[in-house]
Amino acid sequence: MAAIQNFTNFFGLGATMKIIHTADIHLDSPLVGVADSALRRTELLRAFANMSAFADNSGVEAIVVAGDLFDESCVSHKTVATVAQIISESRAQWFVLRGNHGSSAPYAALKNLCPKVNLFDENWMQYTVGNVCICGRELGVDDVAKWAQLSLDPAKYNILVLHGDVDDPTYGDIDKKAIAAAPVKYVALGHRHSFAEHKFGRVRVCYSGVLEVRGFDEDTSGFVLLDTDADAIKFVPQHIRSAETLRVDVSAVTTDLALEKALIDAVSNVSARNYLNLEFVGILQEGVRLNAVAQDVLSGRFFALRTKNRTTVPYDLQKLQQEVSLRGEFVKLALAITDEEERAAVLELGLRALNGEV
Amino acid sequence: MKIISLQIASFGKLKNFHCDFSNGINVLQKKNGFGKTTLANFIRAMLFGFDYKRTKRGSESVSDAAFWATWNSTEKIGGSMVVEHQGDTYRIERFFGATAKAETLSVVNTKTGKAQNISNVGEFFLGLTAESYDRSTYLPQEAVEISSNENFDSRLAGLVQNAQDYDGVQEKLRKYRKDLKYERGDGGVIYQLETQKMQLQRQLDGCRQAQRREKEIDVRLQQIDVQRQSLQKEIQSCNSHISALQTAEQSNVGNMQEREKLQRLESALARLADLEQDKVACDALAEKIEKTPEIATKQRKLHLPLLIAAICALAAGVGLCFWMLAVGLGVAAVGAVLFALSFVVRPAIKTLPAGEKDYYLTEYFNIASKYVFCGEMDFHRVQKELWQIYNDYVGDKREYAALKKTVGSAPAHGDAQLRQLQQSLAELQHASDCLSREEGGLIAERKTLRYDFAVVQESLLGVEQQLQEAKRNYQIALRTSELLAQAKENLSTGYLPELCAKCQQLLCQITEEPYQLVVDRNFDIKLQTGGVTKSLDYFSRGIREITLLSFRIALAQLLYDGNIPFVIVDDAFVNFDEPNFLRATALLKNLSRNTQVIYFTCQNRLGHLSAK
Repeated sequence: MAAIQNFTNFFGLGATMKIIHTADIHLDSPLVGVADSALRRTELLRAFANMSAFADNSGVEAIVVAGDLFDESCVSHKTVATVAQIISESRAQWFVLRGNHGSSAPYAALKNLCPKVNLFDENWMQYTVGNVCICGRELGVDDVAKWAQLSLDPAKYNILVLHGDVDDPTYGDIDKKAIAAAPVKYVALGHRHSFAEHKFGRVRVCYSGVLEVRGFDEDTSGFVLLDTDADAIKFVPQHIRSAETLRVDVSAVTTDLALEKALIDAVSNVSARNYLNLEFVGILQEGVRLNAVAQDVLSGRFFALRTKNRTTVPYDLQKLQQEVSLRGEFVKLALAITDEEERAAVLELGLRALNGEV
Repeated sequence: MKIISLQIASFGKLKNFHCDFSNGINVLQKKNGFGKTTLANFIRAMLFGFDYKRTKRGSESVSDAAFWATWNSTEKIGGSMVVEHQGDTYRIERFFGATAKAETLSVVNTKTGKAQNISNVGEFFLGLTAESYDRSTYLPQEAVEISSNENFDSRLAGLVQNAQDYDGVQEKLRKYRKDLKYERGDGGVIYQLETQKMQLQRQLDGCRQAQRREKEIDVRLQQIDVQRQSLQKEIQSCNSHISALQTAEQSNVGNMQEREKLQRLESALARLADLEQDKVACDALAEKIEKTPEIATKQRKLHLPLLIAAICALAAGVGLCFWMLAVGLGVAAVGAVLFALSFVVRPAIKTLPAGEKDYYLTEYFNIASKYVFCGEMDFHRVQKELWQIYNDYVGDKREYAALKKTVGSAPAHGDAQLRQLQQSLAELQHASDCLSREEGGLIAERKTLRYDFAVVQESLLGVEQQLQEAKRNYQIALRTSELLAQAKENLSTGYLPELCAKCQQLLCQITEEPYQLVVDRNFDIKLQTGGVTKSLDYFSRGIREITLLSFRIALAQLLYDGNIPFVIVDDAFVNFDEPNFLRATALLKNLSRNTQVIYFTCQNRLGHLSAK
């Protein structure tokens, strides 16, 4: 049975209402491969505070966190207390979904420290702000039956808050048909770490992405600003640091020195503050020590660096496999490996070994 | 493909050199130092280009470009070559620079005049890689010669596999795997990382415990805070009560001396609380003592009522005698009788027991000794002392009553309350001190719970990533080794029988002997002749070299699928003895029916290659 709590905002009735939708902030999450993980964790918290300040300065009345505000069980009391303080000082109303990354303990502590925060549980819970109804539940428990219980007032501007994957029911079933049939105006989703907009029927569904990047695959960061009156959304980019991806073609590089120069030229426009995801592509010529040179030139140059070697060996493998030789037979066998990454690695190592380079 | 002509602009020691080739046998008979090997390498360079990597050449490590640079000249090295391929004629022109970028290549179809976009010319025309070309098309001296201590089997294996040392490659891969993980026992990167991971997991468990303890401490500290606030309130309340009482007391009592005196008198009077009662008892005893004789005596007493009645009767009789004598006399007589009877009829005689006085005295002393140290004192002295004490007591009592009137009755009550409050205060402060001590202990313990959950988890994740990477590398190396072994097996089973058959055919053709060639999958080669199978080591060097040449030609046939376009023989048979030389040239002559043979030699002997 859905619990109903009303928060009537008399000043908000009938007026334009701005709502922030964010998710996947992962405060206090462990960060591997960054220069200063403690600093970065503090920056994540600062990004959260910045969003709250933006909300206050922009007349935002409600902030919806669609899951994973905290990360796992490693969130500290200090962080929970700081979040509680930020929320307490905020003029907006807060609606926080737990998500799939953490126990309920920090959220209970948050509620204890900051009673104004509104949480959701495994049953549908509805909160009303002016003429907007914010409804949500934690997915993963008896989803089919719960979707059947979803009941919303069509006269209201209904926002659904969920945390899960629209294409993968591992973290709970998001019933697209039920959403499309319900009088829902907007679905605030969390789980995917990039901003994305979908449509379930006529219902607008959004992943807000991350508030601040934590890994190399999170290329954008920010939050969604929803204007209920105009029924419009806007992605507001926000970042303290960002992640950049560069692809460097090393086909023309024949010596270590040339590679060094090519790398320096390629990264010259990347800020040292940022995450750099560097992918090497093209044909790696024999004798070029890609990993060693990249390590030597780029180590310590950026806040976080990840290199991926997607180069290929300097051989025509299709012709090589026709060669009557150990190498030809080896290539023929290696090309039969289905896993692309494994195939590339086996070919690289085998051909290097046959060339006496191991 | 056939080579029609070549034009060398500049290449090694050759400059502006032109040469035409025909089908069949082409013999280039030149002196030593002419540049025959240079010419053979020019053809290879035209087809496959240069290797711009530095490679070991003798004592030096140089690239092809540097090695084949024209002597004492800065001219661009290169030239052109005209070839015929599938009915068309192509002109390959290639000039080399110091790097691959500087190299220019053009391939033009001379019939159509159209440039062909061909990047790998050799592979396009021959269908072979440079390495296969080297082991099939180009036969230098070292390709067919065998030194006396050389293992033929490994030579053949190397030739077929196109790998110098299969076992060496496998050994290197095994060492690579061993660096990651020992085959037996503990060791290697994976073991180290797993150990590190276990340590970090223990640390993480420690962090979790510390986290739990920290939570407990926090909860207890909060409770302590609440309790202390409550205690502080009680202490404040108690203090304010005490202050109020003390203020009230000071205003009532006046000064401390009076108060102290009052307390002193009060305590003194309290000590003599029984004095008045004892004084009464003592007085009674003293009276008895005074009245009691020292010795006990018998006492006779008149019967007093009879006596009174007798006196009354006598008096009445005397009175009546004046009126009525008889009656008066009679009454007087009755009186006389009563008088007499009063002496006869006596009341009971009281007799005091002996020592009665002593008894009273003892009783008196017992009571008096509560207040007076009797010692050797006699009764009167004790009585006097007791009187004195009593008088003092009465005086104190009066003074106390007077002081009490001045001070009032509040102090006694206030004092008790004050004492009670002070006692409560002490208890509260003790409880507060206990809480403070506990709080201090918990805060100190909390400080010792130094853990950074996220940092340990990060380290663990980092190690897990490295471990995953190391395990993956190990698996890749293992898979590579397995595939190489499988490749060797495939090569042996797939091509070796065909290779052996071709080789045996060539060998029998050259030697005109019915040799049977037996090669197993480990390239262990045996020759069967006259019903006896023997290892090649038992045969002469000439037979072994001819067998190797047969293998080279057989391999070329295998690689070119039976249609060898051309072979370049660079004075390969220079050290062959005459019978072997004749056999080898006979083989080439036989080959030239379908293959262009380019034979470079510095010798006069041509054997079966002679035009005659």
